[in-house]
Amino acid sequence: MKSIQLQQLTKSFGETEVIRGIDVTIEAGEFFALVGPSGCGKSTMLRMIAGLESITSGTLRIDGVAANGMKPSERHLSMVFQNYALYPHMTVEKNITFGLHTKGLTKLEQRERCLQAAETLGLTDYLKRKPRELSGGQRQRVALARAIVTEAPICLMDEPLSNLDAKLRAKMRSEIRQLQRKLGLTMIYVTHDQVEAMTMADRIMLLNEGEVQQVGKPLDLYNKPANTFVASFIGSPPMNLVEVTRQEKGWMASDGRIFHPNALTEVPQATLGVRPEQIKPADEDVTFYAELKNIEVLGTETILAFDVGGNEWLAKWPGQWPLTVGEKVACYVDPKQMSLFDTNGHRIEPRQPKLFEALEVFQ
Amino acid sequence: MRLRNVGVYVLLVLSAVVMLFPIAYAFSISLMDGKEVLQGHLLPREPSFENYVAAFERIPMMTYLLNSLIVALLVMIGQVVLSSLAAFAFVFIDFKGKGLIFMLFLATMMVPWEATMVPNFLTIQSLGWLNSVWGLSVPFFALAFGTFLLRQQFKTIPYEMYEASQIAGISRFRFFWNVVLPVSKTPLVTLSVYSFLTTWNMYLWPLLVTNTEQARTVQIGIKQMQSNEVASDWGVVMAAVILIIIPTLVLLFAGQKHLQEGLTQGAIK
Ligand SMILES: Nc1ncnc2c1ncn2[C@@H]1O[C@H](COP(=O)(O)OP(=O)(O)OP(=O)(O)O)[C@@H](O)[C@H]1O
Ligand SMILES: [Mg+2]
Repeated sequence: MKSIQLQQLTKSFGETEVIRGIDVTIEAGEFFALVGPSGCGKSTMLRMIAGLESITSGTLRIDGVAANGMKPSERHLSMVFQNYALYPHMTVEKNITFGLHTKGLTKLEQRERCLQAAETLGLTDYLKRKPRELSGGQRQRVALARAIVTEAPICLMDEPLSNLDAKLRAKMRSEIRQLQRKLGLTMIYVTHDQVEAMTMADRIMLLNEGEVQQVGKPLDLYNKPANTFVASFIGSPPMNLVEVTRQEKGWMASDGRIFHPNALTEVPQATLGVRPEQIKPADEDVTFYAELKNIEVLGTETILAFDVGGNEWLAKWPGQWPLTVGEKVACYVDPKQMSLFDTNGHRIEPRQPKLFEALEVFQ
Repeated sequence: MRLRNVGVYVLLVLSAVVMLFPIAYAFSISLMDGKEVLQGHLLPREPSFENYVAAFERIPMMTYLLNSLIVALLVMIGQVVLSSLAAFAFVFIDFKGKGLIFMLFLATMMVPWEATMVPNFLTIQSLGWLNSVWGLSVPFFALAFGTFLLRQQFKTIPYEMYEASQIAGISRFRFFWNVVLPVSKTPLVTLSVYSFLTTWNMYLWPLLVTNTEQARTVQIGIKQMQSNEVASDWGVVMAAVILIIIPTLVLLFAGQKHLQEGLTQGAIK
């Protein structure tokens, strides 16, 4: 197991800087997901770690050793590409073993390892086939087998599941996760699918335009988004946001709705965020009334759409609600679950959250 | 629609007949004896292969054929090896001025071969390669067209395949040998056939650099027959011509089969 350390890593293509000073340490044996919108530099960062792209400035350390100048093969890692990059003219077996001779393995050892990897991934029956005679999911498995057969302690994956259909993707997700645990791999996994990141990763790094937005456990990103970008990227549907101004009575949106988030701050203007599932049908306390613009009944939950301060908000209510468009419903949001961001988009920490929680326990 | 098809086929058959007539007639003559040729018969009355035997006996046909074969194979191998290595460098290796050098490569395609003939001749002469297979083949080893053709093919190979092999620690040459060449069979065969045929049919250069019976290639050999007493014996000349055509036909048919295989293979990849 090996750790990876990025210190002020940057990358420029000519004049344009696409990675702007990334600082992060990926622990040994960790499943680290790299997410962000298209073009934010995920692949570039992964390729810099792999040694396929030069590092403009900063230091990359693998297990503490500076690795900037190392050749890809000297970094002892494996990589799974989005299009799998299988060799079309070789059988599955040859695809898996091709390159193992560089590790000084005999033909027999190569074959043993290949069989072992094939068994792990359920490819034993396909070893004699060519890649074009396999389904997408099977090709994906061959790519995985090729990565694990090298027994490299670090594995890099660039959107490995994006070519698969939704069902297969869910299956492969858990397979990859189990494999990573079993082999104790240090995994860096690039995806633009936040569901994938949330369900698989130990920690997530969210990138935007080459800058780190937040690094942390999936639930931390979800519950305590560091800024409005994180808030609107993580979660589906994403966090509802609205601009609010400070008043005597609380924080007011442009349509006059008043919110009482649990935050202590002097700023006059802010952005308020509420997760869709945190907007609940009101029992006694009513936070606001919503005039429904749209309703989607999905069986286990109902998605309500309405307007707040000129923004469309979504609420996710558990169960099936027989509501009609135009209807007015009373909604409740726990003040503790409202997030507040300053005008730069940075999160404003709620008031002494620890103490509040402690008090709640005693009640 | 049917009618149009029929029309097209009639036209095709007619042009095929026109194209094939000289060869068929040459073949026919090669089976006649001298008298019959002069009588102007289209088909031999009593076909015999005597002319073929004569071609081998009266002129050093075997030497010519062997020379041509060696030279054509040498050029073919030289061109394929150099072109594929150059194309590999242009596609997979990063170096300064890559674009410029490639432009230069292409630019040499604009220079007619005849323009470089004199300097080439002087070089070959000073190397003492006149009347040798080296003099006949080496000047043709570098082929910009071949490099261009293979570069286009290599560019269709996903670059990730190269990167994957780099991560696995596979050497460049091994990647070239085990991945790039096998997946590029079709253009490699095309280039080989093209190289072989152009060299086989080459006339001017062998004429310049050979002047002994031992070194001559077939095309020159045929030409030399004119000055011999053989020239009047058309049956023998035509037999020799047919003998020269046969290897090219064999190669074309063999190549075509392979090409078609290669093409359909690519289609379902
Ligand atoms: N070789 C290159 N030359 C110039 N610009 C490049 C090069 N490679 C990438 N870029 C630019 O760098 C930025 C980041 O690209 P990158 O491929 O890392 O994005 P990504 O986050 O992986 O996106 P996606 O999710 O679409 O794969 C993009 O704006 C891209 O245009
Ligand atoms: Mg990418």
